[in-house]
Order: sequence, then C-alpha cells, then structure tokens
Amino acid sequence: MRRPGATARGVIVTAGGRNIVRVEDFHVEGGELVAVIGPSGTGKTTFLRALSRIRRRGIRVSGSITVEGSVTIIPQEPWYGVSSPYVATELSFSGLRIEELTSLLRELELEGKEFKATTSLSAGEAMRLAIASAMASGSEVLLVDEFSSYLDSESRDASIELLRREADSGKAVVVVDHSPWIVDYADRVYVSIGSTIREYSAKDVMEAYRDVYKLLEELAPPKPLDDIVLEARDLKYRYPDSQEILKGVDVELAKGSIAVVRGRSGSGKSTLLKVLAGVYKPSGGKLSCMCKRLLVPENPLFFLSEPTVAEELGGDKALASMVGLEKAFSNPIGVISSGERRRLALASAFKRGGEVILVDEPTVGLDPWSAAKILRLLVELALSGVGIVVASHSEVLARIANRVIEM
Amino acid sequence: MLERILLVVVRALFLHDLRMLRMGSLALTLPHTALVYLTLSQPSISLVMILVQHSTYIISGMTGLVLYSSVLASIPASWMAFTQALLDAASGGPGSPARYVEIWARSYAASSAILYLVHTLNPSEISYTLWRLTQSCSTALSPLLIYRAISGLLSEAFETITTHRLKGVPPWRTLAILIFRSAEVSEMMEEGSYSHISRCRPRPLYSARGLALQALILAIDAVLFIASQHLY
Repeated sequence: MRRPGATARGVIVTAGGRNIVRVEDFHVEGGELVAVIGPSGTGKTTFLRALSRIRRRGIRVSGSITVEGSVTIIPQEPWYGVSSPYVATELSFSGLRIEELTSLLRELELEGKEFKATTSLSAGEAMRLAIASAMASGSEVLLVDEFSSYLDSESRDASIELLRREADSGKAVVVVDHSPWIVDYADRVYVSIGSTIREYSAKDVMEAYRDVYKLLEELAPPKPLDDIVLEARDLKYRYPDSQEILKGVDVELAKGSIAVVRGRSGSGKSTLLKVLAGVYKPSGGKLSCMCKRLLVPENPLFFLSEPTVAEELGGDKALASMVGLEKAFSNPIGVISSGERRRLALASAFKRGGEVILVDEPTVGLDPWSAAKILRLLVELALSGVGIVVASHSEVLARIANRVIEM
Repeated sequence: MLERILLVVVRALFLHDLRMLRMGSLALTLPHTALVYLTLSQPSISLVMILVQHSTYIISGMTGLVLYSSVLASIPASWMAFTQALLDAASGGPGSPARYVEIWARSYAASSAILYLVHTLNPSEISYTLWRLTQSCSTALSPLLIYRAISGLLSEAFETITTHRLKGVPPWRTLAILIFRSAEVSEMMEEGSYSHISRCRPRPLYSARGLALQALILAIDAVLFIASQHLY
C-alpha cells in the first residue's frame, strides 16, 4: 500500500540567481510530525512551497522532490488557508453534511461557529478551521507554515495536539515555525540556518536558541513620566451584529510608559486599540486624550503609505539606523520583510510625532531575534516620551510593560 | 467621509453571519427582484414589496441590514432625484416635489431589490451548481473565493483608510497601498486554496425555514403584482 510522505534530496531553490534555500536530505512519512524551525528569512516558507510544488514567479527549484499523497498547505496567515466566506461552506465544499461538519467542529472546539463569517474568526479559530478543512478534504500530507505566529499559547497547544493526532492517524505533517517550543511534539527537527536546512538533535536546537533567550531576559520596562496622556474609564464597545466585546475597560497611560493589553485571540484586544485610537466610537464609558494618536495595525503594511523606506521616514537616515533599516533604506516597501515593515511602521509613527502610539501584535510572525529588536525599539520610543499601548497574545511583552491590562 | 461610506458598504453587504435567509435558493430570490422591477412603474407597490423584504430581514435576525442597506440604497436614489432636479432646472424650471419623490422611490426600490439578491446569495448553492455544470473544482471554488476575497479586502481597506486618516495621509496614497495589498492577498489565497482546487465534492446547504421565508415573500409579491395589474 502506498504510504503518504515527502522527500527532498539535493534541493536548491534560487531566485534571480541568488540561493534562497538549500536542502541536502529531508524526509517525512505517514505517521510523522516533522518540524522545520529557524530565524525569519532563512528559506523555510520557500522550502515548504517547493515541497508543495507551488511555484512563484522567478523561483527555480533544482534537485529531487518526491511527494506521495494529496497535499494541503496552510499559509502563515491562517485566514488565507480558508477559501470560503462561512465556516459551514468551507467544510461543505469537501462534501460534509451539516451534521457531519457540526461534529467535526465540536472535535476542534469550534462548536457554535458553523454559521460564522470566516473573516470574523480569530487567528486561532482560523487555524483550526484550516486544519479541519484539510481533514475534511482527506489530504494525506499537511504542510503548515509559521504555525504559532498568530496563536495564543492555549490555541497553539490545542492546534499542535490536533496536528499530532493527524500524524498519529497516518498522515505526514510538516510544521514550520521560528521558535523551538515545537521540538517536544515533533518526531524529528530540521533547522534552517544561513539558508541551509538540515536535521538537528533537540539538544542542539535548544543550544542554538540560548543567546536569544538571554537577550530577552535583559529587557526591562521604561521609567514613565508623571503626565497622563490617555485615560479611559469603563469603556464599552459593541459591533452591530454581535454581543458587547468590551465590557467596562479602564486604561491610564502616562507619558513614556508602556501598557500591554493581553488576552486570548478574539478577546477584544484589537477592538480596544481601535476604540482608544478613535477609529470606533465607544458605546459606553469615557475616553479622554487630547494628544496625537497613531495606530500601527497587526499588519504593518496598512500603516505605510510611501513607496520606499527612505520616503516613509522622510529621508531620516539616523532614524533608519536606530531601527536597523540602514541597509534597506532605499528599498521599496514591497520587498522588505515582515519584521522590517513592523520596525519601519513604528519608526514612521515616531517620526510623525505620535504622542500615543497604539501597536497591535508587534511581534507576530517574527523570530525571537527580530522580536527582541522590536521590544528594544518600543522601550527606546517610550524613553523619548511617547506613551505606548501594545496589544499582544505573546507573554514576552510583559517584560517591557509598566502596566498589563488583562482582557 | 470615505471611511464612513466604506463602512456602510461593508455592513450593507456583509453584516451578519450565514443566517437562514442566506441559506435559501436563488430560484426563489431572483423572482422577487424581477417582480420589484416589473412594478417599478407603480412605486407604491414596489415599495410595499421592499417593506416585506425588510420585514423578513428582521424575522431572520438580520436587523442591521435594514438600516445599512437602506442607507446604501438611498445613495443612488438621492443622486437620481437630485440630478433630475438639476436637469429640470436647466431646462426651464423645477418640476413638482412629488415627481422627485417618485424618482427617489423607484430608484430606492430597484437598489434594495438588487441588495436582496446579494443578502440572500447562498454561496454553497452557486458553488454546487457550477460544479454540476462543469465538474471543475476551481470553477466551483471561484464564487466562494470571490465572496471571501471581496469581504476580506473591504475590511482591510477600511482598516487602512482609518489608519491613514490618523496619520494624515491623502486618500490617493491609501489607494496605492490597497492595490499592492490586493496583489499580496491574491497570492496567499491561491496558496491557501491549493487543496480545494485539486479535490472537491461541493454540497449545497439549505435551511428549511430560509426556503419557507423566501417562498412566503414570493407569494406576497405575486399577490401584490396581480393586484397591481387590476388596480391600475
């Protein structure tokens, strides 16, 4: 009987004559969960695409890739792993009846979400739905990109256990991530360093990450000033087609301080930022802020408005160098990485005189090294007198917080 | 202003989940729109049909649609009435106010009837029908993807516009970012739909109550239409 799986031998992926990633020997077979981890920009996603036979323009793949079985790829932003407008229609496309899809959703702790619009799902819910969709379609090889980026720790654990079960049921599962937590769940671990992917032992993996944990431990909150720049009492907000999402939130932000809004995916963190920014009008409570507020959304591209890094920063090379973008100074924003876009958006908000900067999920999708850079940047901005409110599901943000608001 | 218009458009088209009225059939909703159009020469009749349509939104728990779709339908209606008034003024003097009210009512009914088609579109039915006709998974997936992409991109557009408003960016620059983002989104959606394109077994999802409600609207429409033929 044919066993699902994938093998890559002597694979080199290039773009414009430049090596993106090189893989000497990689294999995964039915019953296994294999992790590929490593810093951003080392070719993990490119390798996953090569394995799935998705070819983007200008990409060349040489070497041998063999795949046995039907493949599903779940992209880094889980919303794009869902192709339908509603949860039920996503699963009915693979032939599930309403009672069958309800039962599957119950298994994935998505009970009661059958008729929800997929655009309204939190990241964790979208990831579980994408996995459910792959299960319903009968895919035998699951390729999951940047798995934990958008998930809080509970959703992350629930989702990886689900993938482990899929592997145990005979499917071949490849999970790409940038953090080593996944080592405990994987049968084998490949590490992507310097654009080369090779197998590592769990002990060697932890060693490779030791320096970044030290870097994170050194971070500390800024010393705030006395002036209060933003104050909210008993804030409430309700979307027109849902229940009240904010139920009496209090926020007090001093100049030069960092407040971190924490909570599970879908708990209303982003909504709170939008209410504090003045994008949404609160349905109750009091908000006072006579200052310039800027909002850096979860996708930093939404903040950027100029074609190049230099133009976005008004030609300020010193600022570019402060946020580590001196080498990318003349680059168009279309070609810079997700981490660079995030640093650029924060620097741009600072350049534009934001007295209060509201930042949504600043470390999402970033490897620990890039995340540490962002945290340091936030502290530096606060030290220059800016009040910062950060919404994040990441526990590491608490290290730089003067105040934590639990949702 | 632009963000308010966009918010009304997003809410008027995509507010509320897959409620029962969205799990009916195009075979029952298309005739409603057709009958509203056939009675446009008698705006009072077509407006009653729209009133019935709005009542079913409320019965289905889609109350928000009444407000937002009314606002959206009023935009072309007001434009038509206003431009007619301008034309009349340019060609010798304004007509009676009743004439403009009638133009407004016709246009409002026509727009609301089109919105009804959008509000009651059952994506699983369209997808299933296309699959039966073509046996192609990518063709069957296309209506689902289009619906998903439009609602997603409009929500992203709203977020970008509001962020740029706070930043003080002129709207034309916002447009450039939106175009760039739509290219990124299309690449990611292509990747995400990879497994669906190669294998599918689309199944239509119907709600008995949704079908009954749509049939009831159609029955009331038929009575109104027949009555209008005899009354006028």
